[in-house]
Order: sequence, then structure tokens, then C-alpha cells
Amino acid sequence: MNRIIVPLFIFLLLHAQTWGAIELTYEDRYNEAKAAFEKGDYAKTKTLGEKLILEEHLSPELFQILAHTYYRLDDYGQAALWYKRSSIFPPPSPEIRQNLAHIHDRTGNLNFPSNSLQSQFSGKLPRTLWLVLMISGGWIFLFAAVWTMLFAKSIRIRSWLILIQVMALLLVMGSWFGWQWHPSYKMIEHLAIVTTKDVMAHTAATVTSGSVTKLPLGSEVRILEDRGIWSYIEVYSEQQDIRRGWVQNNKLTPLWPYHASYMDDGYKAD
Amino acid sequence: MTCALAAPQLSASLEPSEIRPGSYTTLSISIEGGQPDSLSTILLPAGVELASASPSFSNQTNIINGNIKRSAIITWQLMSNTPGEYVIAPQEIHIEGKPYKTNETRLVVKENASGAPSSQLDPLMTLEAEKREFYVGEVVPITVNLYLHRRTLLRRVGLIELPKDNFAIQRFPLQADENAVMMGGIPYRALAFQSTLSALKPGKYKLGPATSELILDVPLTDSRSQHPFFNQTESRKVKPTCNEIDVTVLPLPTENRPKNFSGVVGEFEMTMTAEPQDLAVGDPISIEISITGTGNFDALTPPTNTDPEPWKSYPPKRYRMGSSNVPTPQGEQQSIGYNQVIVPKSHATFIPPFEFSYFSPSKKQYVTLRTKATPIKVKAAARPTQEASKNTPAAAATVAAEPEKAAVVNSIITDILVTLPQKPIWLAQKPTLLNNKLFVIGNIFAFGILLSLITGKFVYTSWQQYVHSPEAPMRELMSKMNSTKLNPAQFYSLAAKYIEAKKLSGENIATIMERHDALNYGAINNETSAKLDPAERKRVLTALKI
Repeated sequence: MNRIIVPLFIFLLLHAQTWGAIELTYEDRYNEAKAAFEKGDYAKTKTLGEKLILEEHLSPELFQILAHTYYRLDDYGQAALWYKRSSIFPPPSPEIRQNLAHIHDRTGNLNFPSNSLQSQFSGKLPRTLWLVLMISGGWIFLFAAVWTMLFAKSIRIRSWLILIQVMALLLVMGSWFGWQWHPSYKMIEHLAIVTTKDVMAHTAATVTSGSVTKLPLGSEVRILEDRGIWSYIEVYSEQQDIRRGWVQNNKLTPLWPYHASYMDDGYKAD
Repeated sequence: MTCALAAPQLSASLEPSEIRPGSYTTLSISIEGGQPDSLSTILLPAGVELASASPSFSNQTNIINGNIKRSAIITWQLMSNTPGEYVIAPQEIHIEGKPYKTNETRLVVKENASGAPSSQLDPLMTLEAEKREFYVGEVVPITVNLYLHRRTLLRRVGLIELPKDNFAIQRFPLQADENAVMMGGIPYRALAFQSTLSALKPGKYKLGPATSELILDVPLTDSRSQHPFFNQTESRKVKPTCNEIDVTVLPLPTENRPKNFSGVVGEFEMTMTAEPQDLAVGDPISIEISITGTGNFDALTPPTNTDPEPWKSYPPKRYRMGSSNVPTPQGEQQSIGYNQVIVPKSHATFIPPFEFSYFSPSKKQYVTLRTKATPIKVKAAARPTQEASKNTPAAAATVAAEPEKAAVVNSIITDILVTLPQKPIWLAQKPTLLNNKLFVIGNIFAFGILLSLITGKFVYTSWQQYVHSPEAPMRELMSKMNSTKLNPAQFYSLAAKYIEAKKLSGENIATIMERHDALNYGAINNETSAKLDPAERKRVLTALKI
């Protein structure tokens, strides 16, 4: 009897440990972070969310929760950063735009001008899909044109084929604009967000030099040159003009520090 | 009783004739037996001047042994600041139109004049500072003590001054605290003039001496001029000597200097009140901040809002709390108030702390005072911001009875809109399109179809043209002639058709046509239905292709 019970007991013991150590899926961890946010435990939400991000489990929805969390923790720079990261991916979210506008009202941050219509249109689809649509439209146009030239005899069929060509051409053009306007890695790889308070752009790479402009929390800057602990940046000023200056790197956080291939735009990653 | 009618007798005298520099003397001209026509001016040597512009005049009548003597006395107050011996020339006085001259007089001005008071009557002045070592900007109380002999009478105290090369010194008051003290058994009146100073730069300096010009009434010690019943005094202008103090001025430390430090040094406390605390977005809040303590309030700047973004702030107004304009003595505190209006631009739950930094000499470090965050209730604005801003004091004056306008509704976002997506879409690293097999195959397939369509159409058209070309019947006849199943009659019949179609001619053609006629229209024999000799076929076909 013991010859059966003892191995069985050991088996159960070992497997009980295994069952107890079942790892949560990413969705479970996401839901845990969401639940923590709903309970107002922002510190826990931040910890859980950042851990997922560190493991490169990236999700626009997770970005949103992190943005909400940072806002609740009064870190408006980080809140703006995560909202902007989330807004890179479709579909366009009016809520995110509204929250970014609210943070802008609170901090007066500086942002490059954006065309709302363009961003809304291009944000409808992923960039790759725009490219696929454009190529598909091109094929349709070619097939219709070839058919019209080689096979269509009757005027009625030719008319239909010409209509298809026009539609295909419109599809190509629309997709081209969507592809062109959609944020690509190349477009944002040098963008950074100001995530530290009391940041000033200087006229030289030293804090004792003259000042160019204040950079409130959440401001968007384009890094033109990285020189050690300082970066030469440009920013769109309140006077609706480009201002250039030097900012310490530790005051900035890159908008997209992750791999280019997450951006699904066909960018050839290293 | 007789009346003496003799010539007028004039005599001039100085009392005292020896004075200290800055002291006064009296020139008296006595006229016996006459009255001056006018109080004419007098001639004085350089260095002697009139202390008062107009002389005094008196008449005396004396009856001695039945003789009546009338005399007039004119007196001038004179003074001299420069030591020396001066001869006052005889003065000319007109009496009943006739000029008469006085005798000359001599005035001696020297430090140890016989008419000068003893050293005990000299005023004493001392300078005291509460600290000998202090920081730049630190307010240090200083006191100038003036000791006056009880027998002297202080007429006037000039402004007390100190050399201001390295210090900012507050003006000394004209009024002093007075006490009685005994020094060496001699009673003195001690006058304490209190002020403050602050050093402008670090280093070791000498403070003082303090200087002032006093006017004292000092009792005359010359027995010749003593009145039998009254103590006579003379007025003197005196500049008492004073000590110096060695002081060390320390620089403010550069370590841990707060960003908003404006040079304030001292000991302070700060309180804040805010009203109202239940309001709507755009409504003004009046902030009252009071700073109490001792220090250089002149360098005080308004406390700063630690979170200014969500607030529209108006410039603060500074005011002195209490009505005292007198320099503050040591230990007594000053209070400065700031009134500032701030307007919430969005929803807020508390008024952020205000802070200001100063250097504490007692703690020898920088201190940053911060008010507590004041909880408030801010409701959403019922009116747009433009309207709300008109309620601020700065704009209130401009809000006269304007006609009611339809308000433009501007959205006022006071908080983020929280959306929590139910399910996340995880991003994955995707290959480029050129590495996507489905995409590549799809495009190759489409290209293949397109190419096939074009090629097929081309082939089909070419075939049609070939089939329907004028050469087609000849190609058919030739093809039939190549058949090995034909007998000679059939072969030559086809050959004749071919020659006719192509309208061939020549010797060989004629031979072929003769053979055709022989086989098809001649006598029927075995040759007609026999098998065609391949050599003949080849020869005919060669002839036809030429």
C-alpha cells in the first residue's frame, strides 16, 4: 500500500507547486493593472504597467492606462508622453486627443502643428494596410486598363472598366495619402517629450548660457543632434515659429524608444 | 535831583572774550548818555560771524547819589569756528546824528579757552554693535550712546552718521531713549540712538566712528562773568569723538542655495489664508500671505506659487502690517503682508503651497518656508472663462454695465477622460512587406495573371492573323500535297490548284501542268491510282516553292 501512496503523495506535492506557479498571461496582467487603476491604486498600476513595458509587451491600450495613471500621480510630462505613444496606433481616439488638449491647457506645453483631418484620416488604418491598399488599387487599375485595351469590345463593358479604373486610381491616391500621413518610425524616431519640470532651452550647451524658451511638461521637441549629455533640438514655439536650442538629455524622453518594427510601416529595421 | 547832560560814552565788550571753536560770545555796546539813532550793522573780522541776524536792545536807568544815568545796551551774538585771535574793530554808532566810536575788542578762539568747560562737561559718544561677526545682508542692530553731563543742556542733536562704504545703514532717529547713569561718580544723561545696518560685501571692516554735531548749553566757568544769582551758560557747537568697531562680514554659503533665494537674511515665519474656498472655475481667490520676523525685509520678494500652471495669477501687492514706520529695534518683529489674487483655470482640489527662501544666521543654513496646501472646492464654471475673468478685481473696474451678450460656450476641460479598454491589442514586431510571403506571392500571382492575359491576347491575335491571311489557302494546299496518302492524280490536281492560285509559270510549272492534264484528263491507267513516287513529289514541291 505504501508503495503506491508515497509516490502519489510526492507526485501531488510536485504538481501542486507547479500549479501554484502558473504564470499569468499578459492579458491577466493587463487586467490586474486595470483593476488596480479602478481601485485608485495608481502606484500599483504604474508598477504593473511599467513591468509589462519593460518586457516589451507593448499595447496602445496599456499606454493609455499608464497615461491615466501618470496624470493621477500629477506627472503631466509622463502622462502626455504615454498618451502620445498610444495615439500613434489606430484607430484615432477622440478621448486621447481631448486628454492631450487638457494637459496642454494645464501645462502650456509646446507641440508641433498637426493637421487634425490628416491624422484622423491616416489613423483609420495601420500604415502597412494603407500600403497594401495602394498596391492593390494599382493592380486593379492595371487589370482594368489591360482588359479595356485588349478584350473589351462593347462600349458598355468599356465604360464599366473605365469606371473601375477611376475608382482604382482614387483608391491608390487615397491610400498613398494615408500611407504618407500616417506616423512612421522615420517621422517620430527623433521626437522626444519633456518629462521634467522647469526645463529651458539654452543658446549653448551649458546652463549658464542664454535662454531660448521654456519647455513646459509634455512639450514635443525634435532632436537634431545628440552631443553627449546635451541635445540640439527644435521646438514649435508659441509664436508659431521654430525655435532651436540646447537641452540636457536627461530632461527628455524619446517618444518611441522601442524597435522600429513595432511601427508596422514596413520600415527596414536594423 | 540833577540831570547830567554830558557827551555820550560808548564802550564795547565781549563776554566771554575767549571761547572754544563753535562756541558763542556776546558783543555788548553800552551807550551812556544817549540813544543810538539806529541799530546799525557791525563790522566783524573774517572768521567771526553773527550767530543771529539782529541785535537785541535794552535801556537802563540808574540813579546814583541823585544823579540819573541813562544807558542803552546793544548786544550781538557772535560765533567762530576757527581758532585764532581776532580784533573786532571799533564800531561806529550815530547818536543824534553824530558819529561816535567804541573801543576795539579782542576775541580769542582756542581749544582750551578760559571760558571753555572742564572735560567733565564734554559730551561722550560711543558706538555699539550687537554682533562683531555677521553675514552679508544680515540686519545687525547698532546703538550710538550719547552721554551728557547733567549740568549741560542739549539744545539740538544733529543727524548721527556712520561711514557707509561697506554697509547699508538705516537712518538714525532724532529721538532717543534717555536714561540717567553714573560714570566715575559723575551723573550723566545717556541718550541711546538705535538703528540697524547690513553689510554689502564680505570682509573685515572698521565700523564707525559715529559723528554728530551737538549744540549744548554749557555753564560758564569764568568767575568774572558769573552772575551772582543765576548760573550763566554759553551755547557751544560740539562734535563729540566716538570709537570704532572691528567687524567681520561673512559671505553667504553657496551650497544648497535655493533657486528662489533673493538675498533675504534673518528669521521669518509665514502664514497664508485664502478666501473663498468654495468657488467655481474662473472665480478669483484672494490669497493673504504674511511674513513675520526680523531681517532685511527690503530684499523680500513675494512668495512663489509652487504649481502655477493651473492658475492665473495677478501681481501681488505688498503692504506693511501694523502702522509702525519707526526703525525696528532689535528683538522686535516686523510683519509684511502680500495680497494676491489667483484664479483657477481648471478644476482644482487645493491651493498649492507658496514658498520663499531665506538664510538663517542662527541656523547658518538656508531655510525654505512653505505654506500648507489649502483644500478648496472648485465647481465647473457656469459661464465661460472670459466672463469669469471679468469677476477678478483687476478687471472689475472695466465691467461696467455692459449689455448682456450671448455667451460663447467654450469647453472647459477640468480632468482627463478615462477610458479603460477591455482587451489590449499587443504590438508585435512585424516583418517588412517584402519579407511577407503572402504579400510577395500575391503580387507575383497578380503579375503572372496580368502577363498571361497580355501574352494570351497577343498570341490569339497573331494566330487569327495567321489563320485569316491570304496565304492560308496555299498553306493548306501545300499541307495537303505533303500527305503521303495521295495518288498521283490527286497530288497533281492539288498542285494545279496551287499553281493557279499563285499564278505560277515557267518550264517546270508547264511540265507539272502537262503531267496534271495527263493524269486527270487522259486515259485511265494504273498510274493514276498508283502510289506517288516520293522523288517525284519532292521534285514537284521544290518546283512549286521556288
